[in-house]
Amino acid sequence: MQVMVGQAEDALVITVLESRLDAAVAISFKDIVRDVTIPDGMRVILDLKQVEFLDSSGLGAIVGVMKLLGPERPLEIAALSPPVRKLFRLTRMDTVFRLHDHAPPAQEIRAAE
Amino acid sequence: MVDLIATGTDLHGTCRGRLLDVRKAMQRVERFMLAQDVAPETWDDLNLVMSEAMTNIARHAYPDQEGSIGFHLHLDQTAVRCCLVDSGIAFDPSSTGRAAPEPSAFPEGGYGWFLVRSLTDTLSYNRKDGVNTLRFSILHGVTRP
Repeated sequence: MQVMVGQAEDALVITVLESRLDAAVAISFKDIVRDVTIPDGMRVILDLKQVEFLDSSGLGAIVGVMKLLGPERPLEIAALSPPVRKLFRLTRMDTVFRLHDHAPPAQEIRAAE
Repeated sequence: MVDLIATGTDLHGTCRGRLLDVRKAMQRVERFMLAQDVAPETWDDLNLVMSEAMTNIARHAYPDQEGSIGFHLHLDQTAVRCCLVDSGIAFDPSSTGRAAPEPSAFPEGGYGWFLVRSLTDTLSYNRKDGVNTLRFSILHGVTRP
């Protein structure tokens, strides 16, 4: 499980470098993001452009990450592939997360795994 | 550990009842399905339903991570039919996943069986002689809300 952390103009961008964000990697995904230092007041954009498959455990981990970050660091989600978008629609998570078609351009800070 | 035999429009396989093996099995199933002439949406739905059901077996039927999951896929004109077999702890899903979790409560779980139910045309569970059998079918080219 690998992510890339980047700094955009007014947000931190966390890009998931996995094609499957599933039950096998959900816990390590949550642990990795927990270890990323994010200042209060910074928006966090989760870039899922490489994720072709998300299951309920991966979705649960994203919700868990949102709770870890808290209201001071709002989590938004970018670049949902068609099956990922469908999962958000079926669970109505598309009504509670702010979604973007693309993540903003970001300067890579580091890779984490 | 994943073993597979593909013959025409049928796939028989087994994997260990662990999350990483389920992931590997689904990557192999993907190769089989992409070689079949099915709509991408059919594969997306099968991927999700099969992954959820096999994850459930790995987590709850085999809490000690010892056991195997058998899977059989059959494609016909109208549907993809799947059968999952395990010899772990019994689990009858007939009353599970009838309603979606409330999104504004931000639940971290409870979506799995709701998704299985939402995306399948038929779904049945049977336990006999210590063996759990879950059967489901997914219709081709059905766009569901």
